[in-house]
Amino acid sequence: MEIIFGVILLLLILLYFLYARIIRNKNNVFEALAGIDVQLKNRSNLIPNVLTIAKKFMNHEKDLIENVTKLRTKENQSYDKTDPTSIKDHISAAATLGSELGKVMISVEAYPELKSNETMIQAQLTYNEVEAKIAAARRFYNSAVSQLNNSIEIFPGTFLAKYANAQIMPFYEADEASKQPISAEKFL
Amino acid sequence: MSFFINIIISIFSIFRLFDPNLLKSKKLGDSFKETEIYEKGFSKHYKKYLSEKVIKFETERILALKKARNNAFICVPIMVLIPFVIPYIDWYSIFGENSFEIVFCILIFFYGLLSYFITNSMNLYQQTIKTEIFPNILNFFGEFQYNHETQKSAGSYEYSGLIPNYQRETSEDHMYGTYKGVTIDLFETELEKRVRTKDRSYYKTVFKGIMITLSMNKKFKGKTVVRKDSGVIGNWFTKKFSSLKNVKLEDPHFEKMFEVYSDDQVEARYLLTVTFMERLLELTSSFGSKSIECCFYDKELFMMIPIKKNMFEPGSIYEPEDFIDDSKNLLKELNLIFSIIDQLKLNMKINL
Repeated sequence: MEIIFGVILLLLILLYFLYARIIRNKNNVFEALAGIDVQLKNRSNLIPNVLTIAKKFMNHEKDLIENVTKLRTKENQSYDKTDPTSIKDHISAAATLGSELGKVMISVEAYPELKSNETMIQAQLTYNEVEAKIAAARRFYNSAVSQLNNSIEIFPGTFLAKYANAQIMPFYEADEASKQPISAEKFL
Repeated sequence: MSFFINIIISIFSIFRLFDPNLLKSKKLGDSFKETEIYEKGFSKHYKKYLSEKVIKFETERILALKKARNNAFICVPIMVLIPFVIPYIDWYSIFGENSFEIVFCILIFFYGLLSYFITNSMNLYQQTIKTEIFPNILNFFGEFQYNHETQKSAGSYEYSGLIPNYQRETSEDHMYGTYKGVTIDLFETELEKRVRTKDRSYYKTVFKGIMITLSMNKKFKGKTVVRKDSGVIGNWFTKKFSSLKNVKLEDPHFEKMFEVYSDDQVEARYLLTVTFMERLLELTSSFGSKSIECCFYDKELFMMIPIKKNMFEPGSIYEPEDFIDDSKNLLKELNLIFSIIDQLKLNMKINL
């Protein structure tokens, strides 16, 4: 009888540790997501400055500039951090904005006056730095998601995840263009 | 053990003094050939600041060797005769029971003294190269200073959590200057820990190599430490007793060699990009080191590079002096350090 109790107790302790691990991994994902949002906010704050200078010179890129403005508004919308679909949409919006903003930075090349503008040069340097930080935040997020998803998908994680209120989270899969920080510097 | 090895090496080096061709000055006046990218422009620098000193130093080298050889003519016969004389003296009646240990210690001291007497002029010459020639090589990079002696201490880097427990410290070769706006401060050091056994106590080297501090415009928000991997148990202990969290990185080769801890997961990944990880691995092998450890904190990147060989040393005194090898070695060693700055873009000031 004692042996059965002993085994049950051991099993309960094991389950508790697995449960605690899922909770810890889930919190890590939230922490990483917050890290991404901080960096996206930095980029978002930078956009008006870039666009204000760009508008003065880039007459042929009006559509691109308007698109960036729209995407910025979309990215800044609040989202449900516990809902994987909502997170996926948010990440996707951020990736598209990154890609479009990258295009703006490359287009600067065609405008020598803009390219040599001191404010623009500083904005480009800051932009590169922000993109590098977004890439770092993305790596942290993907690492946290990978740990969470593994702990959920491996039995008995599937069963425990329901009690821990944890779900499979989407990876931050940036499109090819925005995977690397764009070095606009080299065109300067 | 290394003490005895050093004595044996210096005894062998003394015998080279009897080479009949030793005091003949060989053909000099070669120009510096730029073979690496980082050597670009150095041939002009060499011509301007170093080539004129070659004849003077070659004369001094010959003089130092001549003096050493003269001293060797007096001392070496004594050194050779001693082992033949010793058995004929009744040491027991002089020193009693511990005569063997006492005679052994006296012999070591006496041989050390004779070796010092012979090699002193050569050591002084090599020190002159370090104090007079090295600063001229370093000037190539701008405002760089070199001091053979240093007041720097490993104790000032305790904050990094990388400094091992030590009781004795020997530091030398202090260099400092600025490269692309980043202040570089480095020195060579050996840290030793006192080990006590039942019978005796001795000093064991816990670190030998160079310590580098790179101060920059960027201020790090958190603290990120890259340590060498100490195996499953060692890493577990580090995690348990550290306030920093482990950072899992993507590069399996890097993960095999290093463990990263930080209180800012995003910043750690921002600093340790894939390229940086590759560069750190490259640096490790370029320095012939086991593992580089570093700490990003406040405005500094502090690095500890364990190296067995003595860095920043002039070439052999037995070879003709033209400073070309000295320059090449120093340029190569410093280029490795500069590459860290270039890689991390530590020189860039960003308004974030």
